[in-house]
Amino acid sequence: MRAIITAFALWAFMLTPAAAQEADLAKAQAFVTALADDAIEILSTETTRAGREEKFGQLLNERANMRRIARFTLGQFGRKISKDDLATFEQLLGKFIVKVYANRLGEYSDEKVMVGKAQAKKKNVIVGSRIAFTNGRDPIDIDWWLRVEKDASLTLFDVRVLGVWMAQEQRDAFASVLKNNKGDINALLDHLRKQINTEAG
Amino acid sequence: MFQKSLLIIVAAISLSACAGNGTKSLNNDPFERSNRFMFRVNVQLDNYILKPVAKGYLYVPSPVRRSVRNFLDNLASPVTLVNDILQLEGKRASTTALRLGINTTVGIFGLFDPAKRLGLEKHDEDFGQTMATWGVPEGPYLFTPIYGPSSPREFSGWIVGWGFDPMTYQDDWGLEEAIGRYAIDGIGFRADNISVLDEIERSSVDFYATVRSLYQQNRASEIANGVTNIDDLPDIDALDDLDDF
Repeated sequence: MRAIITAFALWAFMLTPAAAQEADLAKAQAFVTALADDAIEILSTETTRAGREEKFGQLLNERANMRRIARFTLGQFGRKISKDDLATFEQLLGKFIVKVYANRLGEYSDEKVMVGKAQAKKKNVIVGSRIAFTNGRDPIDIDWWLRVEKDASLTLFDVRVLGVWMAQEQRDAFASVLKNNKGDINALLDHLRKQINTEAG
Repeated sequence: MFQKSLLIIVAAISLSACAGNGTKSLNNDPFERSNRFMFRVNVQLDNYILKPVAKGYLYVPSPVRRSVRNFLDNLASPVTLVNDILQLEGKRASTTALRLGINTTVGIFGLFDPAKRLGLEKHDEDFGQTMATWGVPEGPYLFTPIYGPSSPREFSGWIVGWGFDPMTYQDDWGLEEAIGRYAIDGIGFRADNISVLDEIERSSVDFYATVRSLYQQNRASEIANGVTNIDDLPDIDALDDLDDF
């Protein structure tokens, strides 16, 4: 009897990591489904630009880890700036993302995101998805890069559209601005303020 | 002509080998200053020539534009097929061969895309991608007016692509026809992406750097056939160690 129990315990132990990972992947897929549904809901119900931006801002703060995204987009310059400048940058980046992407995503209000397979490694999870258009346009593949937080919750880190990671695109542009201004963070902050005002106009 | 093309390819690959030899700069762009100048020239050419023409092209009925796009895509299929084979991508090669056969016949010389309705999705391959899979280094980022963002590997791959293209060997297919085909392809692409490119330009803190990033990332994705590999993600664990910053 003891042998049977031991064998069963061993079998259960061997199965646990795989089963746990499967559960994590399912959780990640559910996270993306909910996020995409909420984003489309905002795009289809919020008719004013201000309303869309406000709701998108809330969604971003709830589901994404803005501090991590801010540090990533600053690249190596992130280690050289003051705590206050980092906080200002993080705040401006949030506004910038909301203004830019609320606009860029405007055309997707009638579509449905179909969530595909997920893959995980350490704290990273990538969930694939596809937007199929009703107007005959070619479908677009979107990957969602999620991170597992210390409390085991998931947050959004980056989104890849047509082979392009958005945070990486911003990091490249920010690095260029910083490089061409001798690493002066104020130049980047000014650029962001200018872009936010342009988008508001 | 062949010798001249060969010379360009050899020079380009040599240049790419030099650039890969310890001189890699931020974003692989050691010629950023001249590239930025060329980019500005291109923006002006785009504003005054390409964009107005592309806007005019949008008045052509959508089904006609789609057929022109299908026809050009079908014309490019043999080049894709050769590169599928060179990359030992059997499944993709058979998809391209079937698409070429079906669209050239049932699709009336490629004007329509019935193969897509049969689940045979289009994909593109070129010799630049083939060289990438063979391990040929990319070389520095290059921007040239009209041709746009590129690298020595991609540019030389584009030239070699002519050699794979059956149209090159047609008696009545000369330089003018080749330029016409390239121009229609470019105008069609520009017309299809007018609002997207305007939006990217408007919302970029540095339009040049954004285009470079879009190109480099998209190209890497094409080389990987669009497959996302979690092992290729940048390591961001260190960002979590900065919590007490």
